[in-house]
Amino acid sequence: MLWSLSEKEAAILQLLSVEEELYGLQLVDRSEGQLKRGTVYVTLGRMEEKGLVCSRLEEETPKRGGLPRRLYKQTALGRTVFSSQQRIVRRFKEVLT
Amino acid sequence: MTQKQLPGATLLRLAALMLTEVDIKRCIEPAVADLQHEEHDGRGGGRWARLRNTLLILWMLVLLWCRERSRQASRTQWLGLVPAVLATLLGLLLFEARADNVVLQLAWLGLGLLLSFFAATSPRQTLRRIAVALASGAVVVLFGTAWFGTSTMNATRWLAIGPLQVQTSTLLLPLVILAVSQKLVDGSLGRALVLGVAAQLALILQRDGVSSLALAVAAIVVVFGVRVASGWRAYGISSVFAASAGIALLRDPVLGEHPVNPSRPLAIAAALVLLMVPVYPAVCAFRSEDRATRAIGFAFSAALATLVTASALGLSSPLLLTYGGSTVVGCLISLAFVLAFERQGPIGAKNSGATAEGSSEV
Repeated sequence: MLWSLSEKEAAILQLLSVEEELYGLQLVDRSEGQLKRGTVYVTLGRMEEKGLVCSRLEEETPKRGGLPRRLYKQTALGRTVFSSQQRIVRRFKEVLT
Repeated sequence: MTQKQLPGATLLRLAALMLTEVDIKRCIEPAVADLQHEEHDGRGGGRWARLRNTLLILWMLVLLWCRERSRQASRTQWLGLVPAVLATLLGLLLFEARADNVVLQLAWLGLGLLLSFFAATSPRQTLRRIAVALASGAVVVLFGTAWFGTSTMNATRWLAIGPLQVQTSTLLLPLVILAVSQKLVDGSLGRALVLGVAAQLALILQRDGVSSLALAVAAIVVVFGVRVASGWRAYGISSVFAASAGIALLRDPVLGEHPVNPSRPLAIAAALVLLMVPVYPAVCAFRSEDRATRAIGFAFSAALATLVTASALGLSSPLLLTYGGSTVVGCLISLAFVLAFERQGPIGAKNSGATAEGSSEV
C-alpha cells in the first residue's frame, strides 16, 4: 500500500521535498493545478494517517482571531517512499528508452 | 474579530454533527483556517469567494462523510438483516400479494434498507447523543397520530402521508426503545421511565396493544438482563411498563388478519425465517461484554420476539410477512441499531481488541 503513491500524494511529497513546511493552500498554489482545494486536505489527512507527512499548528496566535493554520512536512518514511518511487520511475523510463 | 464572526464557524458546527473528531482535526479545521487567513489577507475576499469557500467545505464534508460511511459499512455484519429481508420476500410469495402490493412492499423494503444503512453505519456516540431527541420527537408524533390519525375499528394508529397510510408506532418504536434502553443503562431511570410512560400513554390512546407490549417487554428485559436496577426499583419500573402494556392490550380491538395459506412448506419456511429475526440481536447481547451493546441487543431481541409471538397468538398480523411497509422499515431499523452497537463495541476500548471502533473514531 505504502509503495503505491497516488499522483496527488506524489505531488505533495515533491513540493514538501523542495520546501520544508507548507500550508494546505500553499501546496495548492505551488502545484500548478495538480492539487485542488477541494481534495488537498483530504489527501493530506490520509497521508498523515499513513505516516507520510506530519503536521503542526502554527505557533503564532492569529492576529485577527480564527483557527491556527496547520503546517505540513515530510516524514522520514514519506521521504524514503517518494525517493524510492522516483528511482523506480527513472529506472522504468531508462529500460523503455 | 472573534471566531464566530469568521467564515467557517457554522460549518465547523455542522462538521461536528457529521464527522469524526479525527476527520475534523485533520481535514476540516486546516481548510477552514487556511481560508480564514486567505480572506484576512485580502486574497480571497468578496462575496463570491466566500460562497466558493463555503461550497468547498461542504463538498469536503460530503466527501469525508461518504468515506466514513463506507469504512463503517465494511465493518458491519450485514448478515443480521438477512432474515428480515427474507421474511418480507417470503411474505410476498406466501400470501400471493397483488402486483401493486408487491411494488409497494418492495419500495418499503428498499426504503428500510436505505435507512438501516444510515442507522447501522452511524457512530455509536452519535446514536447515543441523538437518541433522546429522536425518541421525544417520536412520542410527539405518536400522540399526534392518536389525535389526528386515521381510525379503523376504534384504533387510531395511522397517519395519512399522501397516498400512504403509515402506522407510526411500528415505524417509530425503535427510536423509543433505543432511547429508553440507553437511559436505563446510563442509570437515568427517571428519564427512561418518563419517556417510556409517555410513549405507552400514546400507544394506549392509539389502542395499539402489541407495540405497547413490545416496548414493555424490551424495557423489562433490559432492567433485569443488564441489571440496571435492583430490588423494588427494578420491580417498580417493570410493573409500570407491564401495567401500561396491559391497559393498551385491553383497549386493543385486535385488528390482526389471519390469512390462510395453502402452501404448507412455504408457511413452514416463513415461520423458520421469522423466528430467526430476533435471534441475531440476542446473540449480540449474549456475546458482548459491553453493557450498552447488551442492553440494545436484549431490548430489540425481546421487542421483535414479542411481535412474532403476538402475531402467532393472533393479536396482530404476522410480522413482516403480511404486516405493512412501516413495520418492514421499523424492523430493519431496529436490527440496524443492534448492528451499529455490535460493530463498535465499548466506548473507550479503541485499542483493546477486535470489537473496538476503528481508528477514525475518537
